[in-house]
Amino acid sequence: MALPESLTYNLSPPEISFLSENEYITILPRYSMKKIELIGEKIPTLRGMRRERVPLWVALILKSQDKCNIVPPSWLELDFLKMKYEEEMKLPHKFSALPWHWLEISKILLAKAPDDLADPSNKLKSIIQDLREIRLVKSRKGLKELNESNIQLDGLSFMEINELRPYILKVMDKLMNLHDSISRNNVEAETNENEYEDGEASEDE
Amino acid sequence: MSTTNIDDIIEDFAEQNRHTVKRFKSSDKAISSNVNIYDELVKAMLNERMAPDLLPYQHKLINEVLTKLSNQQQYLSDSHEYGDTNASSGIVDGDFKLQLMIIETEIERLSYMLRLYLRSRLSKIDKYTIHYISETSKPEEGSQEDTSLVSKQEMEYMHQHFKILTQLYNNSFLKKMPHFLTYLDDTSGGQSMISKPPVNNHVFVKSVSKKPFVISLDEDEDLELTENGIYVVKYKFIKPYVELGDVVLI
Repeated sequence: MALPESLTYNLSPPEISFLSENEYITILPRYSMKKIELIGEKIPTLRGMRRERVPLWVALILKSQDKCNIVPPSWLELDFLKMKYEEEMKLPHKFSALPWHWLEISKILLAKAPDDLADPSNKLKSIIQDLREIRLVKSRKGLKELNESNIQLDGLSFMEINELRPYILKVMDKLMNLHDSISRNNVEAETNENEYEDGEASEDE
Repeated sequence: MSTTNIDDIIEDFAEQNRHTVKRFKSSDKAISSNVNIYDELVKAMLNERMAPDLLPYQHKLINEVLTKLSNQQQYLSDSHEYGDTNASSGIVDGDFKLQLMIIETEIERLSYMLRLYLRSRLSKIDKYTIHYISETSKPEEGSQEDTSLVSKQEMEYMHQHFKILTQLYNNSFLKKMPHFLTYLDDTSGGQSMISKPPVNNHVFVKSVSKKPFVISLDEDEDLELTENGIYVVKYKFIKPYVELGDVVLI
């Protein structure tokens, strides 16, 4: 099999985490390094203590070699996340805006660069967990609204969508099948008998 | 000393300005030479992965990626050679090795994306072989190399795969069946035996078009898609917009 069945209409969490490493992040280099021409983009000349934006995966390599500090994104901060949490509490039918890859990036940074974060990582972890749970509850409540045609899911992030995807797609496809068969039954109710006769005739041949 | 410093600063400033200008330009135009080829590949991979149907093969993009990959690999092996010969003289430092490591990592990341892209396509070709063989045998297909649904290699694979599969079926059970039951592409009896991609299935899409636009769903229903909105709709209604690039599958 070229692609396992479990991966055909879904991504695995490691794959999403891989994709999130393409996001840009600000670093504070400790050493200078000449610029590099990559296929995707150019890494500018790095100089000590001058901020630059680089892809997260480059930042992680530099960080692992102690060549830079990562400047945490503005949303990965206790006060901001607390504010978002309160927003989630106040608006029970809406998801507050968080970055597309917030779960993955916060996980990566908490694991690989905990010393660069402004707030203690255990507090950050717990607020992230709270946020995640309240959003999960909301999205599960929202499953009631599933129909056979279409839905809108603004505000969810990539990882959260990926979690919901198998369930939502299956339910919507099934609902669509049911819906189609009902409408078809109504139309074909009269012609049904004729079709049966035709079917038998062709089998006899 | 101080003058060179100032010169440096001015130069840096100018360079930075150039960078920001460039960035503005590239975000203005959707298609320009500045578009990050890496992001394009990721987008193509995700679209292909999530679409129930085979999307047209990205001839231009894949060719470009392959060329750049082999160039970069050449550069890498040249640099390694250079590093090896100059290792004792002290020209080569840890910095150089780190740079090579970053370049190598990028090559690996790109190849992985490319593999994911091709694997998604192959799994669909495997599943709906007969359907795609009849799709690609239409006369207007294949005449233009750049726009065909499948690449040359995929075409070859598809036909070979089909040949082997038919052989296996024939040898293991079809030869023992009455002749009129042995067609793999039988469409009589009201039931088509050719499995087709489930284009009615729902997919997750994200609108990336700056302007909101309206798509029509069945039963005179319309849906307005705004930028960055996330929707779940039937694939068949969104397919043209995926090819135009107004939405991406996620």
